[in-house]
Amino acid sequence: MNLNNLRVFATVAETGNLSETAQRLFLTQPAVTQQIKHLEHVFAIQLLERTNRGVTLTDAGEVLKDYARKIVSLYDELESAMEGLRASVGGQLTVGATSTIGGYAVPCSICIFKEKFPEAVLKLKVANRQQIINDLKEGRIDIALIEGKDLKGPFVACELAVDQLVIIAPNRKPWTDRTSISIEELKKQPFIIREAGSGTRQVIEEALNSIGLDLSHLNIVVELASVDSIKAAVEAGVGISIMSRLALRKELHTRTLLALELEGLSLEQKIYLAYNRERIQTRLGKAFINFLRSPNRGFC
Amino acid sequence: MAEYFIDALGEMCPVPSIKIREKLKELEVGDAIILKTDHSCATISIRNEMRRKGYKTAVQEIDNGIWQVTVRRVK
Repeated sequence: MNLNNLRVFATVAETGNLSETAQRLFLTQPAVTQQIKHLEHVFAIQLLERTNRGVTLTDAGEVLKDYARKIVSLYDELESAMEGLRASVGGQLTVGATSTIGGYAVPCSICIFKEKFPEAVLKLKVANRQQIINDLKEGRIDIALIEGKDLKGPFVACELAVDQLVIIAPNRKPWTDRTSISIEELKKQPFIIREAGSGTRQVIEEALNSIGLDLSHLNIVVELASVDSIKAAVEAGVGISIMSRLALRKELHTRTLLALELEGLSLEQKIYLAYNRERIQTRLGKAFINFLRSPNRGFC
Repeated sequence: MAEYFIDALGEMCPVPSIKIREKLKELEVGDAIILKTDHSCATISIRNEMRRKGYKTAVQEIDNGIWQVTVRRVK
């Protein structure tokens, strides 16, 4: 007799129906019948009576039902206790994130996750898209949160959110009260761009390509490698730039910066959760992935 | 019925929660803390924690992606 026999019997006792049990446990109905027969053989007593509306338990079946439930639930409890221990033993996870989300949403996710898994040790590495993709390929990070275009490579990727990119300008003349900007005007304005390898820069390049332009058509005055330094430069009047709305909530609310739409072009990027297909995730890794994908995730 | 304002814009979890916890010590019955945050997760964790502790909370989205959380001591 094994635990599976008991699990099957407990389900039959609960549903009173062999085919429903089979469905619920992903078994065939003959397999369910066989397991019950095996139990009847082990205890040398009849456990079920077949009726035209399903099955009913015999007296022996009733006794077994209580024990089967207790044993199964005790075993499940044991398994989850062991799982908790395993998680606390091998509890280290390195998460990589691209600059925009790494500086905004991921630290919160890690903090909320830590409340649920206090033994977990999580490290966060923030870099640009290209660096994070390389790190993921070479196994320096376990899980990555990446923004930008679709991922290519040996990765499992799932989309977490869609993020909108907007043109940012300082909130003073001549920008005050503006809500959009034309492509022609964008080409003339001093422009601040992220470094090569940045996901945001890639989105801008591809959007320009789609209308037959490239970065050389823009009046690029400076290249900066961080979201915060671009915000500061735009605020100081160095030029305008393009950035994820996610990273701008505070500045748009306090109205230090303005978000403008680019006429005739929609700028969107997706936020992905990705991990290497060829690497086996630890329990902690799986827990973190499930946490990020859950509807009430700590991903803001 | 004093009201305390906390600006937690741009601050990540758990900073907004910690700022509220610090201020709670000064709160008399009827007083409220009003905190602004741009992190939706902060609003959820503050609301859960404050309800557990017996404070009355209200959350309002006052701008695109900006929330105002009100925590009031009622007993």
